Amino acid sequence: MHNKIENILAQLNSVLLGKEQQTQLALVCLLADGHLLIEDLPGMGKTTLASMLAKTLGLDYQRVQFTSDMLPADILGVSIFDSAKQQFRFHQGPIFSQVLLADEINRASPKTQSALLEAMEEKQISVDGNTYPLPSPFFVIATQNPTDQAGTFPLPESQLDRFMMRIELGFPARDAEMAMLKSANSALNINAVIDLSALQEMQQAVKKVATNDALLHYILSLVDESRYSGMAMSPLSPRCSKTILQASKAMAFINQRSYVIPEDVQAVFSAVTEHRLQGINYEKQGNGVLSNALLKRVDPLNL
Amino acid sequence: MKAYLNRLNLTLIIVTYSVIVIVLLPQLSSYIVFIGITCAAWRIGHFIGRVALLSPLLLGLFAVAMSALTVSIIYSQGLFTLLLHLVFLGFSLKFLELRTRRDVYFFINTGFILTALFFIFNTSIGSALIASLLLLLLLATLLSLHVQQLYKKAFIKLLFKSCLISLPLASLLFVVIPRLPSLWKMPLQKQATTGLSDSVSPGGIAKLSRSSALAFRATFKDKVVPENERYWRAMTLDNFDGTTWSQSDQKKQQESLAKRGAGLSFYPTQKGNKVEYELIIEPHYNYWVPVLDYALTPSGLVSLSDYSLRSEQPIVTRKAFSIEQMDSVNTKKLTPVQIRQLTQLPTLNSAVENPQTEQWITDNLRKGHSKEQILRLLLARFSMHFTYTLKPPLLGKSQVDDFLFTTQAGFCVHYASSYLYVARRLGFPARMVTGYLGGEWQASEGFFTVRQYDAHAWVEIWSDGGWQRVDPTSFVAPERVESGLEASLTNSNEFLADELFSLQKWQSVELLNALRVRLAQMDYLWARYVVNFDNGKQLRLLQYWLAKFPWLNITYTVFLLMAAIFSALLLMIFKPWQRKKIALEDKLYLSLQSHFTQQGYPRQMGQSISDYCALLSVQKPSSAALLGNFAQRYNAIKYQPSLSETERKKMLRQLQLLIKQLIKI
Repeated sequence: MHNKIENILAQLNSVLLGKEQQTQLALVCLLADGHLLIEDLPGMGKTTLASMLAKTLGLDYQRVQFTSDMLPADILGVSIFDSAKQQFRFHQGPIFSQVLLADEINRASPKTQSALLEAMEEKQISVDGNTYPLPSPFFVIATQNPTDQAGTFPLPESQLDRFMMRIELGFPARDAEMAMLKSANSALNINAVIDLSALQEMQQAVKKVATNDALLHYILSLVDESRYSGMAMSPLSPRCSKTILQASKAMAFINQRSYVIPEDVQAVFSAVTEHRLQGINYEKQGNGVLSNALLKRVDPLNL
Repeated sequence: MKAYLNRLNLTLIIVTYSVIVIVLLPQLSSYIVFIGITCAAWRIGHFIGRVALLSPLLLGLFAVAMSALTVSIIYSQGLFTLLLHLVFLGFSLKFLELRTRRDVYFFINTGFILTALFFIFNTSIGSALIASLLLLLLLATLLSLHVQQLYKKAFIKLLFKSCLISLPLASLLFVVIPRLPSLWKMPLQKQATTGLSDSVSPGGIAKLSRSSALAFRATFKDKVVPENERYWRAMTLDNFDGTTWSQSDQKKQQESLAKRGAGLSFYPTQKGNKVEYELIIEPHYNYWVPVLDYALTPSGLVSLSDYSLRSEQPIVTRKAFSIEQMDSVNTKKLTPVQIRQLTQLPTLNSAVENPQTEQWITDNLRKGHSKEQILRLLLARFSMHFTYTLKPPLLGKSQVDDFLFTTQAGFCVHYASSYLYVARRLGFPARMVTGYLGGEWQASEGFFTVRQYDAHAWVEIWSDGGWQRVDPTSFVAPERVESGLEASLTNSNEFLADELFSLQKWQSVELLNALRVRLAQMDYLWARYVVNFDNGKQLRLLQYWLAKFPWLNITYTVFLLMAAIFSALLLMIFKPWQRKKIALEDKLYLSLQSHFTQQGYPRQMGQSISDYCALLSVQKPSSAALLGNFAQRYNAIKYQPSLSETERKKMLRQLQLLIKQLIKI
């Protein structure tokens, strides 16, 4: 099983050069059954990473380019009167796929953004009083531009909270960019490394990763510090502590360990919490400021 | 961790500081009070946001300069005053630089020391109340540092509750802690503002008579001396220079010997009635102890040949003495030297200075009156023509003449002085005695209070082989001897004219009088049982308690009690039962950390063991494998829930082996 993980990571890294940490986090997010938000300037490889993830994991995906005039029906689907059968028929929108690639999600109006809320949490949608289940697994991989760019609607906190992780790619290293330019004509022969059953197997294995009280105390101390130290504008919720645990388990799994250690928590902590801690104001501070401060204030060695 | 001060802290600190300045005001020189007020003003300015605090460097320089200035100014006033001023200076400057909790701890501890110093100067129950208020303020400040979130009511409740809880311990410590001898000498510069001075010129006692300040209190054991016998003797004056009565050199020499402990001692050799009483004397910064005739010498005091007592140390705090007295003493014949001193007059050779008196004496002698008769005639003159007043007209150069023939008004010193002059002129050995007369009876508590307005001067004449007391003033206004100064003044406005607010003045208002009496009683009890709780009394109390347990030894008991109290305090502070047990793997990890911290690679807060070991591996590449193993095993022991006990023990052993190797690096 771990061979496959290495293969997945190798394939991802062969396309997205020099971004091992980000690809690892992205994989962790999907293994932990969470939605992923990738944020950066245009042209940094956000969409590449998102589409590659879907392809590598052998999932069928649909890509939606979000715009400001988009309506919820454009994503969810629409009921159209079928004159032959004399009734309305529901035409499924792009959301009915295993991976929804929501490109530039913050260009859509809040109304459209909120259409994703139910889908992401309940894995189902309701249209015209009918509820339709979404395929399983269901992931949303969204990309967004920094909110200070023109024509953006910042994601509200409730929407941000639906994403397990938010990662930033950042500029590549000089060597990596050089390598990228040399192989400019790469024909992107991306194959599915695993199939759906293997992915589900892995997700089950992640759930079985063990934790003990010492580790849970560490997570709780981190969460407490965000609540009672007065540092963070929006403290971490219980849902967030659950999410931290899930992500840490997936990280432990990727690191080939059957139990979680504080290092796993630290590895995922920034990606999981920073967007929740900063809330809607997150562009105003540098990346990872609050979460790293929290990590520095809470010692894993709790005597 | 730096904790900053909030508004409540600062308000309390400023209030505390101001109260301490006000309370210590009488003891401080004006320049240091000025510094104190400047500091307070600066701080308040900072509090309302007008000025910045001084930088530490500037403040340090300022402190050094101020200390030097203080030393140079106060140095001549003795070590103790210097100490007080320096402590106060430090207190004031600390007040200026309060920023963190640690500063406030310093501030409060200094405040406690200053409160203790305040007790050296003031021992009355009123000042004890003031000091309690001060302590309460200091404790409130301390408390406000630790409970930031409490509301006013809860805060005050907690404050009083904790004070009440610690009260029994404080009382126990008061009883048990040994009294150390004083480490410094008390300042003697304090001028004898109240009390008798060692020289008297008519006019000197008038001021004293008006002060209702307490002089001393007396408790009689069983028999009370009748009022007309209550002449409290303090000093005898036997030298007259025409205007002033003072002690002769002979007398001074005797007294200076007595102050060094070489005075006489009288012991009960005489049969007769013995009267015992206890004196509690207010500080008068002098050596005399007022006693009735004829006091035996108690321990700690010495006697002079004139039956007065002297303390070896000046009385600077409230002191209690137990006195025994006899009704009569054996007397020795006067020596020629003594007779010469006791009949000394400045105008013995030329009688020009008081010609009228000379004339009057000669006339009477010519009429065939005996010397004793002439003295009696003088007293008769007093009772017929003379008036008693606290505001006598000024006397000219011929004092005796002026008083006897011109003004004919005065108070005790005038009468005593002129009577003495005539007696000595006639050849009787005579001397002036100063002290106190009478006293006010506090019925419910059974003691006399003698106040400064009871100060008195009378005459002793040597005749029939003994000293006879003559009180010329009593011939003028007999009421004065019977019922105190108050009754003898016909013009009541004169009495206590200076003290508008003295409770003494309102004796006719029943409620106020009751209040006054009650206050006096409380102050007396305070002085008797608290202020004068010295080593002797402590020993007696402990012996009394321990008599019930004969197998207990006082020293060991005190020692054990103190040890118990302090160990309880230590336990309360360190709370060993709350200490967590540290697991073996954590101990090993800690020892690894301390080892590499010494080498200059401390672990950062929040850094995980893997990161730390990775960091160390960069520094010590040769032991990277060991470090990696250590981190991995530690994590497995600490975080792997499925670890079996045998595996766990095995891993711990490996961890121990690893640490042994690592520590050698």
